[in-house]
Amino acid sequence: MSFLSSFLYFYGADNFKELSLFLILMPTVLGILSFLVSSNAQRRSIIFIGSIFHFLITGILVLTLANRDLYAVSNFPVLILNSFSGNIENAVFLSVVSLLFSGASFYSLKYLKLEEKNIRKDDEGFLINDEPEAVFTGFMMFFLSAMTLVCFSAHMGLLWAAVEATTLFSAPLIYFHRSRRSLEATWKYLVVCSVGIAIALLGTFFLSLSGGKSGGSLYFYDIISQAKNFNPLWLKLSFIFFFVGYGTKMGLAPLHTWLPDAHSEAPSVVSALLSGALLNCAFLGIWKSYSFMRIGGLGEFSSSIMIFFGIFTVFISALFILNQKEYKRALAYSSVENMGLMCLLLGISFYVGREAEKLVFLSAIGHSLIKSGMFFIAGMVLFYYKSKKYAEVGPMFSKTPFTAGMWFLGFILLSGAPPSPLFFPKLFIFKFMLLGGKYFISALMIFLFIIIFAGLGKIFYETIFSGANNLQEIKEDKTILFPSLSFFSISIFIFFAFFYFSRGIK
Amino acid sequence: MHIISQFLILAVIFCDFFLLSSYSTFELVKFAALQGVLTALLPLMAAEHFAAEGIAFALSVILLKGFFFPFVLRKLIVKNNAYEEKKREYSGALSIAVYLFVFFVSVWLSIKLDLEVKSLSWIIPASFMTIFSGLFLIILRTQTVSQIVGYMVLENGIYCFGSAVFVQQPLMVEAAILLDIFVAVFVMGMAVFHIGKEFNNSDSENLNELREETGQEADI
Amino acid sequence: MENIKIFFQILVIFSLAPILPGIINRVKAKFAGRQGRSIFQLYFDLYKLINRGMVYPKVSGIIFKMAAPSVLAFTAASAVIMPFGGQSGLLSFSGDFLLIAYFLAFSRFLLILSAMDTSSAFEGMGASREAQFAVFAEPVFFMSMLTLSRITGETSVYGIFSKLSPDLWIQNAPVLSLITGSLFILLLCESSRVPFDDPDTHLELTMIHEVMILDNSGTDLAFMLYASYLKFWIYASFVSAIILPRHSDFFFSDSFIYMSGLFFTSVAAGVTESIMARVRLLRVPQFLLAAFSISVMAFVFQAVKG
Repeated sequence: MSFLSSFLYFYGADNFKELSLFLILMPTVLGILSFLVSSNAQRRSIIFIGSIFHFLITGILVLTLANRDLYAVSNFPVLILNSFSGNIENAVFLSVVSLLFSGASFYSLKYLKLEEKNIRKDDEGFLINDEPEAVFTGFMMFFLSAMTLVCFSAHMGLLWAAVEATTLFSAPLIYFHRSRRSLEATWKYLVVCSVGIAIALLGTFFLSLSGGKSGGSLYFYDIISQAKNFNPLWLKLSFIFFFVGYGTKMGLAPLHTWLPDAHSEAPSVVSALLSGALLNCAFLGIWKSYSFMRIGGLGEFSSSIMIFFGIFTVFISALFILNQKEYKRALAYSSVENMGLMCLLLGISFYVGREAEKLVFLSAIGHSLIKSGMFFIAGMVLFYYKSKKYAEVGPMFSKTPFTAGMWFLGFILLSGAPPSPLFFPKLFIFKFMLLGGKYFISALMIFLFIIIFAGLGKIFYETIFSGANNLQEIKEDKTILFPSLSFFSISIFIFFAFFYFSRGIK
Repeated sequence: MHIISQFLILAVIFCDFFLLSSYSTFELVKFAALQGVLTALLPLMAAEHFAAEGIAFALSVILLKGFFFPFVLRKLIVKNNAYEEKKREYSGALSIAVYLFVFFVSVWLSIKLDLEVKSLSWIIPASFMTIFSGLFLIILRTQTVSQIVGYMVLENGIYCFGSAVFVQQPLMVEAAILLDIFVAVFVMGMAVFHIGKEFNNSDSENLNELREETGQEADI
Repeated sequence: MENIKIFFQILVIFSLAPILPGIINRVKAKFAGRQGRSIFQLYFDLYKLINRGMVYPKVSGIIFKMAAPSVLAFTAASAVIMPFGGQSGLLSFSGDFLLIAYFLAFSRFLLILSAMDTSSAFEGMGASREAQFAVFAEPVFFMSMLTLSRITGETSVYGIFSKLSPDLWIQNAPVLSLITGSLFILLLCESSRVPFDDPDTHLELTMIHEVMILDNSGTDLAFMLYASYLKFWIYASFVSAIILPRHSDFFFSDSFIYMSGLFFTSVAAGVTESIMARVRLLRVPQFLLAAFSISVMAFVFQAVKG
């Protein structure tokens, strides 16, 4: 076993560039292939096998992080990273993306089959007419490709182009059900996110300007080595524009307005991918800009912005979760909340050090796994009970006990109670605030978390335990929830691993 | 060369004026295309020497922004019967007020930022004006086609800013921007096509179903 | 010599004023494929009108009788302040463009009063429209003059005209072209040309200047028409001085250049009249506001540079 892992490690380290190019291009090829292949079953197996493969190779590459000293010089002026050292966040997010895609492709194997057979009417009484599956699977693969490119880019311009590509490739996915509401959600998503990304482009230009009057280089390597000499005014401006631009994509308040609509109208697989993978990739852009700011000596400025908007985002999400009538929207707001938490934690890391960065990773991984697991379950809930409003979802406890159990477990994990990996970040925030003497903010945060817990709890309680008891028998499909089960168990495992390895937080 | 570029910049600013005050979608498309072509010509005029790749790139931009996009958008307009925006009474004077406001803000911003741009000092306010005009078009217009045009104008402005400030532009970044606009307009155009099929017109005022439910609304 | 030059100047202004609208009419006709009236036709019209008697409406009063000659007097007073070629007008002092503007405004005021004095609803309507346009047109004039004086550093019209030169154009091309544009639009507005008012139409909905002089007849009408020609000359000379700035300090060549500038301006006005339709009445303020914003932009361009 150790022989295998060291072999893989060296293989990965030597062939990093080739493997990364493979990871980026393979999904594109598979996507094109899925347009050309004629049968739906073939398509689904293509994406399933493709994402498993993607995950395995990502695993190999991530293993190369084991010894950071092997490749000291990272990503000098080549557009794509040639190792992950110095860019651990890229590795973390890439592995999350890959894992999520594997789960999503497994889920969609069954989900697409169900959708094929499921002729039903939507809220207005029109027959739901789904998109051709080729479009769905094809764009899913393109989406994976774009997100991989985001995680591998070593140039801010390429990062920008890849994030824009993710917007454009995920739009058809949101429109899968072809209803008026999903059309509206898609349009809002397209316009808001494209404008946001255009603002981020301006930020990219400003960043280049800060490197010198006639335009500095945008390669990570160059920026990191030169950032202390950058013009502070332009650096600050670039951070602000990056924050607004990529923050729109990420779901920070007050730019989160597209998020609940898009997540509730898209099919649950897509919502899972958007929440779990896409928001993280957008966060990567902000992360990079933040690290440049810190090197440039403007860490305080950027941290205060991030902390403020992190708290504001949690506040807004608490406000809106409280009276939600639809459970998918509630999950979307919970994503917003988690994004706010991540932003807050990253801002805190300026004051506290690497401890907080570990917690950002923890909350990112935890959120992605739990949220996508929840969305998978929510998809099945929608399929069984045919309504998006929680009041109309019957008592799951009696009808679909397995699903109800998973749903409940997910809720516990989502709300941050132990054994959820989201417990540690929240605890850490309290500790930081209390130790820093900011009693009002810590009280506010506790209050907001309680509100969120209550809002979510009401929804979950109502769905699980009460509701109209129409007498239909529902046949549960247990195997489709395998990804959710595995994600939840991974999260619990992470909780215990973190607990064990850090023996609590200092 | 210098004087030609100054007139080009003036023309870009005038295009903004027509974009903000026009209520026919055909005119919007026309002026956005004109502006795209002008911003593509600007770096050519400012450069000291003509590089082959610069000319080729400018030609491809002109083809894309000047011919392809208007063609696609015009087809969309005709198909969706989206010839005119809804007019409001005060909109004539309001659009001029918005234009002047945008102008002052851009000039103020460029003074504050104090960039040293060789030989073409008015390109920075022009690019800011274009960016703001694009944003205003997206915000204030109801026709979805106008919103697409607004996005194109926004990208025009950003491209103009980029070509103004960077002497040696990495061609890849410019090509990436171009590709991005191309795919974005393509995808947005598809969305507008679907909207048109769904509602028989492409007014974005139809897209008003998704909202927060406050619980106080009566269930009809 | 000076006196001869000034005498020559005034003679030229007052005798050549009716040619410019004649040029416009000729250009319009050529555009329409017709032969058109001769450019001297307006002289014959004026001559015909002067030889006729005047008829006053029964319900009009003293103002109506006084108005026509007074309008001509004030317009002529503005005209003599205007520089000609490289020479100053009869009067030239710091801030004299204000005097020009106010003389013209006062003559407009008298015109409006005379229109209202006829107790005709028709003419009152024209008067109110004219007043509305005046509100929007004044800022354009002042803004343009402000910018011009900022560029040239002079405050009298003669000073401004003498400082304008091709070098100034090369340095300030965008500003000067913007000012030319806004002054040209102003020219079209003040002399009641398309796109603000159609001088050929006599339909109720579309008349503005024409309607106000509907009840004047004979010599009065001749005075009113001649005053409008002089007004055209005044505004056209602004445009001409900017577009063809040349100072060779030789009187006759300067005058020749100046008059060819006027010629080109009239041709441009004629072309504009042929290719544009009259703008809808409700949109005229918007159009004038656009001209205002052009001049504001020119001003800001100039201010920021300096």
